[in-house]
Amino acid sequence: MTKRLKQTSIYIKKNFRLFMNQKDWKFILIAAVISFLVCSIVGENMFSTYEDTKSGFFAIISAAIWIGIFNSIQRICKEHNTITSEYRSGLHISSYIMSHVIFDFFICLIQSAILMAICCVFIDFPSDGIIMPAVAEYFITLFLVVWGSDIMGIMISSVASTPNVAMTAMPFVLILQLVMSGVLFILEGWSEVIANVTFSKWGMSALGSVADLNSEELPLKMSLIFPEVRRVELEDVYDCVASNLLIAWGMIMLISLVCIIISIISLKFRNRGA
Amino acid sequence: MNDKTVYYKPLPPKPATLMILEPGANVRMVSLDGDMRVGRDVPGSTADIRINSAIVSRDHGEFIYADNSYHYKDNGSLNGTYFNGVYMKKINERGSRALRLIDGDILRIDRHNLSIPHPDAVIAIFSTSFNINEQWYRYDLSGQIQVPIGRNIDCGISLTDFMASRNHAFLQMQMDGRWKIIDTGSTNGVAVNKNLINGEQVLNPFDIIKIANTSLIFLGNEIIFNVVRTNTEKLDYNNRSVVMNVGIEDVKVRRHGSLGKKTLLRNIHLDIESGDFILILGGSGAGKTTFLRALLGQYRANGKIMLGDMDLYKNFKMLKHKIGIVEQFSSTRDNDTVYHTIEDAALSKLAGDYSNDEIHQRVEDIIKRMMLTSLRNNLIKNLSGGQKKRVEVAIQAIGDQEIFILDEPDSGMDFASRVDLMENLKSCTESGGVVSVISHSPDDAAELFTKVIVLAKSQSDEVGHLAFYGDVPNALKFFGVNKLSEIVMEINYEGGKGRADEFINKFEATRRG
Repeated sequence: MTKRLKQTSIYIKKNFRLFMNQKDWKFILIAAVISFLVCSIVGENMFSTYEDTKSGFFAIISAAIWIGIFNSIQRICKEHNTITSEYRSGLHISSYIMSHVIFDFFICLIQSAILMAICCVFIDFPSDGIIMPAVAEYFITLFLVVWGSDIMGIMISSVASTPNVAMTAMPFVLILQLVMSGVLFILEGWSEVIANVTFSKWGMSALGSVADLNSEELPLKMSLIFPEVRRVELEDVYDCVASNLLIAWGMIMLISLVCIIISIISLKFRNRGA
Repeated sequence: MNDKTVYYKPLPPKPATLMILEPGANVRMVSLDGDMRVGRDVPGSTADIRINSAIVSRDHGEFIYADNSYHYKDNGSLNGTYFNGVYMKKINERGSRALRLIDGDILRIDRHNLSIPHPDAVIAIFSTSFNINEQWYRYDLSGQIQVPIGRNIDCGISLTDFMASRNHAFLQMQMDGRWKIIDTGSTNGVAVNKNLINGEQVLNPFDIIKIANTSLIFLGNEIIFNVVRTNTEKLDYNNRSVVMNVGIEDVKVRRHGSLGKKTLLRNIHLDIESGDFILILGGSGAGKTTFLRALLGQYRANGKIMLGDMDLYKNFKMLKHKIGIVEQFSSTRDNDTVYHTIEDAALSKLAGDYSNDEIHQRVEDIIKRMMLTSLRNNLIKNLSGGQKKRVEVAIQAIGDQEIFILDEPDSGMDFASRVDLMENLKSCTESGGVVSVISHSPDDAAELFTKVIVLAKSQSDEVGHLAFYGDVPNALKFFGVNKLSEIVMEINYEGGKGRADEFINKFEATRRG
């Protein structure tokens, strides 16, 4: 166990050096640019109507997922040969994966802080949250989505044999996340089941709950013209209750954990003969 | 067809060592070098191995080297010899039947009741892996209950072996008076009689305990153990030991898209000695890479590969770190520095059991040895091909690797870089390591290689076979060529003279005598 922890620490330091030498800090700049673009477009109409707020959250969640995946999707697959060599010399795959997960925790923390800060510039967030101030709840949600997506990128990168394969898989994964968010389409049957393993669905659920999307204070656009028009079918996942928020956070963490396990298993399987 | 008779000098006897434990004397190491006689040390004795004990006869027995193995025969001595605890019976007036010796076999000259040893009893342990130059110490267990073993200076049995943990294991006496060894969760494990133990194991007299590179022989009331040479000590080429014994019957590999396995290699038998710098030659499809994968344990061959005195496949988890491979492709990270790449490899391999100072010292030694001092702060991506290979060798050498395998390390390099790399690799063998190289430019540094392995694909069974194993001058004579690169031309069917089967059969006949 001590050796695993020690190796994790060695690889975290190595990740930091590579981050600097490869100028990977550009991913933080990219995150800032994406956040700026998204927030500047959706910011004005947020918290005015139900549709605009929901669409705004959808855009922010999509940006968070993109930022997270893009951090890590090519990182593991480009050093498969190195991993094989190091595994043979005593590297623990779990230490290697955990070093990336832990190092990316800090990168994602910075990226989600930038995303949140830019959101705060363009969006006038209500102050009341469910269990803590709303800004803190939004920040935690965005951070978990960015970090979770980053870990999903690690998983894809572990399974993919080359960076090309990983980059080919990326659009499919992104489309799946967007389609399964429950914003663009109504999910029923098998699609509802699949949606349960996407960060977009749980990210939307958390943001929608904190913003209380079911509240009458966020009317339909049509209600602004025809005040007698009211929403009849409310969406349970957006109820402003603590259970919704905590379940959403919990599910994001659970999916991330499954991604970590799949990453470790796939790399061990790939190197089984070494 | 060349009808000239070519003189081919067969390989000399395999080096082997006899460890002799005489009453009240230090452990004595005797190098076996072909046939040798054993007798009492008296004036006028003509015995090659003289033993100072009253119960040893003047002409007690003899070691015979035949069929690539050592044998022992008792010459009808008065008190006889015990072979692994069994009395060697006399079959005629010339003595007993000659018995083939394998690593760890114990010869004992004693009284008939072995449980009450004679005060002048003598024990001899046969090994092909004990190094004659190593010092051995005796540690008396009488009056003790627990003896810690490890690198820690406070341990009862304090080891100098770099790959042993600080507190590696301990010996503990049980209620019934027997001793057991307990592994204290060491990094590299403990093996008893060539098998890795799971936690603890009760010991019997003459059990051989292996901790990293240290052998400890349990004698019931004492332990004898060796002091491992450091990798900065120069190897004595006259007293080398067998590092690896390869006995491959065949290697079968499942190919992509096929259900069954295909045999790729057959009948490879050879001994690799400490300090060998081996060139592996062969045409395409001759099984060079398959051979390397079998040595690495990535393909499990039918047969046995002994690393020292332990079976590689049976103890793979414990031994796999001793064989390092430098692949054709780069296995370093382009954007890390030379120093950090090597340091991380050291930390990763040696973490938990070595102080930062020890690891730092180890890294500095390797950097110096691989002549990377001036490049230590360079990024890997800024190095030349040869410099990158040196870094990769340094990574492999940072642990306790005994054998380095390099798959075409010189491909894509210019002549000067190729020679420079080969000289560097040769320097790795000077302290006893073994380097095996597949190269398509063998003549650049032909004089550096101590041995050549030639693999050739037979047309009769479409499988790779050993067509030659020996030194460079003999290889040139055997194939009747002037340059090593011409050997491949001689054996290749495609684009060559297609004489593979001729040389396979000729070498097999030579090997069998």
